Amino acid sequence: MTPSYIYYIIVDMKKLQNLGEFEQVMLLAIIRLKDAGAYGVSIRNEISTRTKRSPTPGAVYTTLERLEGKGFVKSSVGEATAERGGRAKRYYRVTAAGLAAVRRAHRDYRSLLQGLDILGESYV
Amino acid sequence: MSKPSLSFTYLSLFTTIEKANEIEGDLIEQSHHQTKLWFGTHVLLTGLALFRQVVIDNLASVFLLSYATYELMTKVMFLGIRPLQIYLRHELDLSRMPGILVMFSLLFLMAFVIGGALIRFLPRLGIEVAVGTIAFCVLRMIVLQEGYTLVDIAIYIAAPLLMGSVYIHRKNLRHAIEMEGAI
Repeated sequence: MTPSYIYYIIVDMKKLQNLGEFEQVMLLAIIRLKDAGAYGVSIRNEISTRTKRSPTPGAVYTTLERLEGKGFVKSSVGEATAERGGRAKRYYRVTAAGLAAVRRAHRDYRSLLQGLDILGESYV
Repeated sequence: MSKPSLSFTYLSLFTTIEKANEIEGDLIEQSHHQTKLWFGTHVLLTGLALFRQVVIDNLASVFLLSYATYELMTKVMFLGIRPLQIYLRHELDLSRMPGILVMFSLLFLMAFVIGGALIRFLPRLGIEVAVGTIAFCVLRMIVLQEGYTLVDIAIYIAAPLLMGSVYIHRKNLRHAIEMEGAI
């Protein structure tokens, strides 16, 4: 138990936070909406369109708070519009840490799927 | 916004004022082609989801503070008198003891004040602790069966505790909106 090993366990391992499945979906939706602007409504619509599932607003906002707490997204306040009753929007963008987490998850999936034919008829 | 709406008041119990405002705006934007029932349902469910997340993120704090509040309400408030004076209701004739009504009113008022104090001193966890306190009372009733009922807990603990919390929370919102221009 050297100091560097203890540091690795406490600090470095903490940085390598894994993503839940829905967190990955959220991050990818936010990345896709990079130019159009990712906020609660657009993120929810993007997920509904791309994945054919309808996340509840509660699931979206709690996941956004969790991602922000992990440092995977950053938010900023946007403009208020009459369509929203004069309430401002909160835009989200993925941070470098978030992008690294998505890449890591994608790499892990590719590694696990290598050599498998799970969509083939022979798989039981 | 000069007066906080019901939905904003409710959502801001579980998150910051700014985020509650933005979430409400998102729901308003999506509700243009929906019914009022749709909007109300999603406000309610979003609040519950945020409440659950706060409890999960602060489980130990909510548990300990809820238990402490429960002990305060059932032990200290009555200074050694048997917890929850309503138990006496099953033994004494109310019509012969007008003082009992005064005592029950004081009990209601004390729970109301404690509910307000939770929001005042624990702005981020107040409502979660209030709900946790009620849960402890119900658990005590179920486990120990000390003679009081769910109706007693609802009238003398749950209702005033939550009313006090919401009252102070709404006062804080009005102050933030009118004086500090938080939105």
